Order: sequence, then C-alpha cells, then structure tokens
Amino acid sequence: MRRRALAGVLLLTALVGAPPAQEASPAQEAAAQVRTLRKAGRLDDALALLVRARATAPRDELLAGLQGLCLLDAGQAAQAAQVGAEFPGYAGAEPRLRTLLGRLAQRAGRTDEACAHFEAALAADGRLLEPALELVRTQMLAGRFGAAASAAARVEAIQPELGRKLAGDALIAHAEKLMGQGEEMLGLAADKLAAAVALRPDERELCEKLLDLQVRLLRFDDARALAARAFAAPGARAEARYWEGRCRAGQLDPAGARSAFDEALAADPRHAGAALELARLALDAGDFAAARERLLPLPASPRDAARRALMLAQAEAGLGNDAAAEAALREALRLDPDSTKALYLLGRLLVRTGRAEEGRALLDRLAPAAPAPAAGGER
Amino acid sequence: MPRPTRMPRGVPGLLVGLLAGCSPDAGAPAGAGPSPGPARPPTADGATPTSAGAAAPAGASAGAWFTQAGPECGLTQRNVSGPTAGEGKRYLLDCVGPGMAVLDADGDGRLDVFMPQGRDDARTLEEGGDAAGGDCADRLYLNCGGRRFEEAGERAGVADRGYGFGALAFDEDNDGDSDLLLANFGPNRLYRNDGGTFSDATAAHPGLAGGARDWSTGAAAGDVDEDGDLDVYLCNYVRHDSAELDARGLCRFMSECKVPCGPLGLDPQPDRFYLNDAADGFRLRESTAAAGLAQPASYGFQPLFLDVEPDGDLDLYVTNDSQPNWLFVNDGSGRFSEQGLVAGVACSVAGLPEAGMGAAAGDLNGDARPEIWVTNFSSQVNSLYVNQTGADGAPWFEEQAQRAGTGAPTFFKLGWGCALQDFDDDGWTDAFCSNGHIYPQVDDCPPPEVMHLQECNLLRRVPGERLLFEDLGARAGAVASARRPHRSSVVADLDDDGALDLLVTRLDEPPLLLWNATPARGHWLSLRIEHAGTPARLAVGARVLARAGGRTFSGEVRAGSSFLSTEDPRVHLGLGPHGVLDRLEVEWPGGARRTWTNVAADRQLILRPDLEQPQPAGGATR
Repeated sequence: MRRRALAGVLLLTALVGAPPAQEASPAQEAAAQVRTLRKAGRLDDALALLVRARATAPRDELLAGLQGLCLLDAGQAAQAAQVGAEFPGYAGAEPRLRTLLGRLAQRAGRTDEACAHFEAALAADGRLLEPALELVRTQMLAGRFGAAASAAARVEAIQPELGRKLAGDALIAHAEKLMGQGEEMLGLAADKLAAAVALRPDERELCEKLLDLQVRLLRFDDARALAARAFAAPGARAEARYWEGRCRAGQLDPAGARSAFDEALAADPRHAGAALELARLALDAGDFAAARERLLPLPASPRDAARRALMLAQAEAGLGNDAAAEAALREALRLDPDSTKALYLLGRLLVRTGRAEEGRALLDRLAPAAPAPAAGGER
Repeated sequence: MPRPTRMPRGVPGLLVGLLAGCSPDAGAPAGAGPSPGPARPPTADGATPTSAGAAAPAGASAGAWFTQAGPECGLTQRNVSGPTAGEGKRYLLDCVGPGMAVLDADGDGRLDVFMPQGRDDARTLEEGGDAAGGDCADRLYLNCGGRRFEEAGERAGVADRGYGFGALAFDEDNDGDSDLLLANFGPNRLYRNDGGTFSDATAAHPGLAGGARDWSTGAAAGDVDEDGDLDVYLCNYVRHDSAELDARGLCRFMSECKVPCGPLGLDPQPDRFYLNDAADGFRLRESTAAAGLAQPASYGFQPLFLDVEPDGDLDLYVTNDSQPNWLFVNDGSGRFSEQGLVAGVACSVAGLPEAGMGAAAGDLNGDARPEIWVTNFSSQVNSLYVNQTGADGAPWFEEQAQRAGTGAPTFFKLGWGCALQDFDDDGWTDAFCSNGHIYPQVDDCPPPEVMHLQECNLLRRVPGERLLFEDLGARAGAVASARRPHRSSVVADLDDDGALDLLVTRLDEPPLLLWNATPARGHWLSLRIEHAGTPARLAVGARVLARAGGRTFSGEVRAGSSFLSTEDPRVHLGLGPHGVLDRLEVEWPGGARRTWTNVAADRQLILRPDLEQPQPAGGATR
C-alpha cells in the first residue's frame, strides 16, 4: 500500500536525520488539491478531479476515501457507498478511507463499526479533525455520552475551542439522560453538569441549570461557590441573592430565604424566580392568600410558566377555589404534559369534585406496576 | 393453653415473676402500683405522687420531657446486625435493624419487651441454618417492676436464632395471652404462648415461614372479617442473597459514596395476608388475593390497621420503601380495595413515591379521624397525612408536613420508628420519630446535614385549632440529646405510672429506654379494651371516643405499628385540664358499643362490653 510505504519512508527519514526534499506523487498532488477544494466547498470540482485521478490509480486508498467523503458531503450517499464497497472488510490504516467507511457505517446505524473505523483513522493520524468529530457524533448518537466526552478530548487537541464545546455538549446530554432516569441518578447528573460548566464557565443558562440541581441535591457549598463566581458582577446582584435564597430555603431557613429573595426583588423587581420562591414559602406556611397575591401579577415567562401555574393551583385550592385551581392545573399540564405533580393534583381534584373517572385516569398514569430495577441498585 | 383471666398485679404477679425469671430483689414491692423513677420519685408507700397530676398549661415547663434509663434497667445487650458500622456493612440486611414487641409475656400484668436480634454474619444463616452463627438469639426482657428488666429469652422459649426483624405480639389462638410472630430474614416463626413459656407453632400455619432467602419485615394483626379472631398482614421486603450481592459489590449513593445496594435493583417480595380461622384450630391461611390485598411485589416495611373513615371496620395502611404506600379500604366484609393514590396517602405532595419506613396513626385535630404519619428517607420530610374524609366516607387525606411544622425538623433525617401520642397529656397529640441514617458511609457524601448518626425528634403539638407542631429540641431531654444510629421505637407505659415512655433500638448498640419525666402533665386515662367473656382477650381494633369540655379524644387498639414493632396495647388519652370525662364510648370489632358517663381520669381502666362500669386495672392512679 502506497500510504503505508510512505509512512515507512517517513519513519526511516525521521530515524536517519533531516528529510531530504521529495517530490509528491500524482495521487498525493491530487489529494492535496481535493482537500483544498473540499475545504472551499467546491465539491463538484473536487469530485471531477478525483474521477480523473482515480482513473490512473483505482486502488489508491487515499483517493478512494476522499472521493467517498466528497460524495457524502454532496449528498450522494449511494455513490459513496459504492466507493466504500470497493474495499470490503478493509482493515488498513488509510485514515480518509477509514473515515469514509466509518461514516457509511454510522449512516447505516452500525455505530460500533463506525467508531472502530474512526478510532483506526485517528490512530493513523491523530491530527485529523474529521474522524475525531465523527467519533464524538457517533458516540452521542449511540447514547454513549461518557465515550463522546472522551472523544471530544481528541478534538480539543486539534481545535481546543471546538473540543471544549463538543465535550460540554456530550456532558450536558449525559446529564440530561441521567436526570431522566430518576432521582437516584441526579448526583451523577450534577457531576456531569459541573464538568460541562468547567469547560464552558461563561454560559449562564448552563450555570443556572447546575445551580438548580445542586440545590435540589442539597449541595449548598458547591452551589454558593458557583453562584459567587457566576454572579460576581455588580449587575448580577439579583441573581446572586436569588441563589442565596434558594440555598437558605434548602437549608430550612425560611426567614433567611425570604430575606434573600426580598433582596433579589429589590435589586430587580422583575425577578420572577425570586417572586415564585416567595410564593412557595407562603404556600409552605399555609398562607394561600399571600401566595396567590405573589403569583397572580407574575408574567408567565416560558421558563417558569408551568411552575407558576402549579403553585397558583395550590394556592387556589387552599383557598377553596376549586374551579380556579382546576384551570391552573390544566394550564400546568398543557405547559408540561408529563408533570407528575400536575397529574397528581388534578387527578385528585377531579375525583374530589365528582369527576372520578377522569381523575382516576390521570392518576393511573402515575401508578407504577412494580419496582423498576435501577442501574446498579442505587437509590 | 387458655388462661381464664388476666392475672392481677400484686403478690400473684410477683410469684409469676419469680417463676419466670425476675430475681426477687428486682421486682417492685408486692401491691405497689407504679414504679419509682428519677422523674417522679415514689412516696413512702410506693404510690405515684398525685400532686404532679394537676393540669398545667401545655408546655409551661422548661424541664426535660424524657430521661434516659441507666444500665440498671437491664436492657444492656447490644443489637447484632452483621458487622458493625466500623467493621463495614455490605448489605442492606445489616443496616435496617430490628423492631420490637411490647407484650405481657408472662401474664404478670407488666409489659415485657421482646427484641429480635440479627446475626454476626448473614451468610452463616444462609449456609448453616439456625444452628450456626454467634450471639444472635432474640431477647425477651421480662419486666420485674422497679424499672428493671431481666433477659429470659431462652427460658421462655423465644430465643430464636434467625435473622430477626419484625415482632408482632397478638393473641393468635384467643386464649387471652400474647403470642409472637417473628418476621425474619429466612424462615419466620410463630411462637405460641402457653402461660409464660412459648412453643414454636409455625408448622401449624403452612406458608407462614416463607423461603430461606425471603426477608420479612413488619407485621400487624386485626380482625378484618370480624369473626372474632385476629388475622395477620405480613410485609416482605426483598429476596436477599449474600453471594449475589458480594458479586455485585457496593453501589453508589448521591453519586459519591459506596453503600450497600438496594432496594431498587433487588428483587421485591410480595406481602402476604393470613386469615385466621378459629373453627380450623386457629390456622392462619394465606388469603392475600381472596381478601383483595394482592399487589405487585414491592418493598414493604410496615402495615398498620386503622379505621380511616371511620366506619367501624378495619382498613389497612402499608408503607413501601421507594414505592407508593398503599391504603386498603375494607368494604365491611373483609374484602379490600387499594385506594392510596386517590386518598392521598401513597406519596409526596408532588405525587412522587417516597421511602416509606414506619407508620403511626393518631387523631391530631380532635375530629375522631386518624391522621397518618410516615417516616421517610433523608431529604424527604416525614409525610403527615391529615384525614379529611367527608360525609361520603371516601377516604381523603392532604399531606401537610410543611404547613404543620413537622417537615423541616425531619427533612435531613432518615426516620424509622414513629408515634402520634400525647406525651405530656395536655390534650393535644404530639409526634415522635427515631432517626439514624441507613448508610454508615453517608458521612462521606454531601450534604453535611445528612449524617449517619442522628438524634430523634419530639414534636410538640401546639394547642389550638391550627394544626401546628414545634420541635422541642433540648426540652425533649434525652430524646434529642444523642446522635446515634437509632432505628425502631415503641411507646409504652413500661413502669405503669400512667405516663408514656419510649424505647428505641439502636443499630449495633444497646437500646435506649426513655422514661417520661414531663414535669407538668395534664390529666390522662389508660384504657385496656377487652372482649366480653373468658378468657379476657384484648380487643384489637376497638375504637374509643371520649368527650370532655367540648373536645373529642379518640384512639384505637392496635397490634403492629411504628417500625417492625408492636406497642403498648392500651389506648392512652391525654386529657389536658379535664379530670372527668363527660362521656366515654367504645365500639368493639363486630359492632358492640358501650357508653359510660362521668368517668374520672388519671387511672388505668379495663373496659369490656359486659361490664357495667369500667374496672380499675390496678396500675397507677393519682
């Protein structure tokens, strides 16, 4: 194989001293031009050049790999597959051909085979971005987010910023998957999010997601440290006080929490999160009128709308306003059709107000048939 | 062997005590009623001072409510539950700890204490059977009076060497004495009481023993079909296999510390219900499905019979770990339907299942309907389900832990035993729970607020219409002064002074006995409710309603509650300033009712449908 021979020559020259000037072969020259054309998005020109070059070197693995990749880029997957089929069971080290075969396997849903090809491509040339990116993508598609984050480290070695973004994406996707697996996996999810925040510390939404999880997990020291860093700017006082309030509420200090939320509202009277938390404290204390008063004027921001509706429903129910409670619960369910709390509260409210069949149907959606085995027997 | 009547306290009681094992100098003087104690020393004649009985404003005293008994009480043997926490616990089996049963085992009129025991190593049981293992025999502590107990498990025939968890004291064969059902990991045992000594009657009840790797937990008894004998519901937790768990290794908790695996991921075991049939020699027949009690296998811990509506028949509440709890509503014929989710007692206020451990019932707001209190895992409040069942009789509860002030004090703790009782007799029912984290390794996990060793909670009901509790904290005395690996608890008047004491198990340690020393108790009444006829039999399921000064006080006779335990079978009513009840009414299982008027308080009474007047029980008066 030509590439293998070239590699051998390079190795030999590296061993014996400075490389002598060498002339590139026609195939190498063609490959270099194709890479330039592909990078410039001129796929038609690249493919025309490849057809000519492969006519004289039909078994050249580099040219075949490039041709298949250009065909895939151009949306000609069937033709690309034909190129790949010229190398059945290929186990060589040509990285472009490996990348092509990997992408073809990925398209066919054979993620393990695809990853093996990308790994082989990177083993042959660790500076290649394409197989590294495709490896991350394939691992993500396969739901192997840990492996995707590891693969992103290879991208980071080539393009640091892109690598960190990809690693962050993988970690966030992993965290979301864990959060969907139940309460017992939240700790692991927080760890993944923390790693993502370390990679992308300036993304506010990501920080807030982690903070929320840390408070839920009672990791108040971590939450306070993160909030202090993320909201250190003078203009972020409302956020800083809001998260202090969340921590205090989590630490069962309602007076301290109330004070912090009041300070957040003083800094930013439109801070919906602080107003919502004050309403929650009022609900906890059984002061339904105060909770309702807090909630009614709140603008229904997309982020908090479902929660606001749920809390309003609880306040209305506590005040005996069943119709208003029902309307708020239906709104909460519309905003979040899988909300366990909304299903539970609305189901019971319907039963209590004489619509047992409809209510029980909602409650049936909550009832588990039997304990589901959890990963590793974790709580 | 049937006993004709309950033996009165006094000389005959002492005689029984001598025969059964209490040393002569340990017992109270013949004829003495209450026992001396540090909080309320006896007068020269051994009687409890009456001056302490004057009703005082609730919570007026800053004195400690409970004092800890010293080693002289005799309850000194440590619990064995596998390797100690220091040695490293690898199985959930070694972390849960047993319950206990309060019963009059020897018929001397005093309440004794049965304590199941675990094993040094569960594998010796799995591989070698009962004969193998170390110092693992269950204990029976006979009450010698004078606040002293003496261990007599071997002599009494209840020194079972299984891996014990639940202890249910109930009269299986209607002979008037308390038999014992031991819920074990491995074969369960039913010990029949024959006048103070017990014999193994498990074989008479096919299916009751269970399998070698079945882990049974809590049990409760009640006459669900009102045929005059006690039926039994038995919770089962998981199938435990040490070898399998060894192969699996430890699991992660909060993503950081390594802890024993389970229950999620382990095989849940279905609970069983056994219908007693007097006509068939008191055979307990497995009748789970026939009674409508069949459910998918879950992680069951504690059943609790109570009348939720109340409509005169026994319903059944069951706690499940990490799964919804169940409320089985009795249709009056002994057939049940599960209504926990609709009734609002299955899960948290957010509709999420929690880790139900222990369960207690009691009337917190004077409406004669029982509330339910459930202990849960750390980072979950203990659930307080307030009974709002209306005129239509459909069970209806609202979870109000946060609002009522029981949420915050219990949030970081992992609760096990629990009780709703009026400890200061101010007329308002208080709440107690015993706490300790299941995982010894939890100190390595965040948050720092969740610790392995925890103190118990005594929450005082703030008098008034609004349902509100305050954490007594240091005022609770020895209840809250020690962070230890507390597990189950029982409430019982163990020294018969008319005040409710507490006994708490501790994992790997001796139990904690707490004498009630509340300095300003109100008036009270302790009621032993019996069936008519002979032998005298405890009327489990009987319901008491009392009226005084415009307020209602209520209670039920239960066998099986708290966590894997059986508590004092007497109904204790705290009456506050009311020294005389305007009206006292009892409804017996089967529908018999009897009403008495102008009943003086501060006494222990026996109530029977065939007695014209309440009969003094011979215990404390003041």
